[in-house]
Amino acid sequence: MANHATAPVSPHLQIWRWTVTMAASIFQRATGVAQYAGAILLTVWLASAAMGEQAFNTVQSLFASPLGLIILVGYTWSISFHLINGIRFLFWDAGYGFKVKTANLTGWLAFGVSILLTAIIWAIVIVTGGGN
Amino acid sequence: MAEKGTPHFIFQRVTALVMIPLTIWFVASLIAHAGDSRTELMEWIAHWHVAVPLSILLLAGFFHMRLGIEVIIDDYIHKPDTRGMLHFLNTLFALILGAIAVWSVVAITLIV
Repeated sequence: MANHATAPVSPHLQIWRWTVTMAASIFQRATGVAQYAGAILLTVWLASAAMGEQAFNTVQSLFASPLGLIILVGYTWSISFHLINGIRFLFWDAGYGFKVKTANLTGWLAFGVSILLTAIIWAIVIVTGGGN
Repeated sequence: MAEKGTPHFIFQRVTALVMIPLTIWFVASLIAHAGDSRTELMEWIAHWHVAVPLSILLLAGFFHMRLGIEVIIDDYIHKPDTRGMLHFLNTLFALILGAIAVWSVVAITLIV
């Protein structure tokens, strides 16, 4: 407990110029926090299937509502970004990808690929008639 | 948590590595099962080769989530009492939600 007072704290966000590496880092946190809400959605969905037909249909129709679909698309992007940028951070942990040029490029890629992946996933779901 | 930094760091990364293939598998499977009825979905989950990796994904996920939020609490909450309370609530949330999620997979397997 005594250590806490002297532990380093996060710098103030507003004094920095925005860079893609910084944005990727911030969004890694934000999408991580979003998984808290996502975990509730996944758990409610699984539990409703275990509970019974009525509970499951209620949850499914909530997910299929306009607001539900917006949330699910956001959740899909949140997982995609956190996964892709997380792999980028694992490479950093192993000591690779630190050159400014590489770090900037992979930062942009994390945003671009995660958005593209989300679009592809939902295109497939819509085309294959996922919405029953 | 300053004194527990190394195991925290390692657990965060081990759970991340475990979840990479499992998440890709689960999301791809969900796309394939998007139009499923409850019965079809439960029959799929009840296979041991689905229920077991899904349970591992859930356990790793809730653990990873708890560790991640722990760091954020440490970074931004400086009042020791508030910080301690949030750490407690974070652990409680992960435990309760994780238990319900894994129980659901087990229950589905038993029902089918």
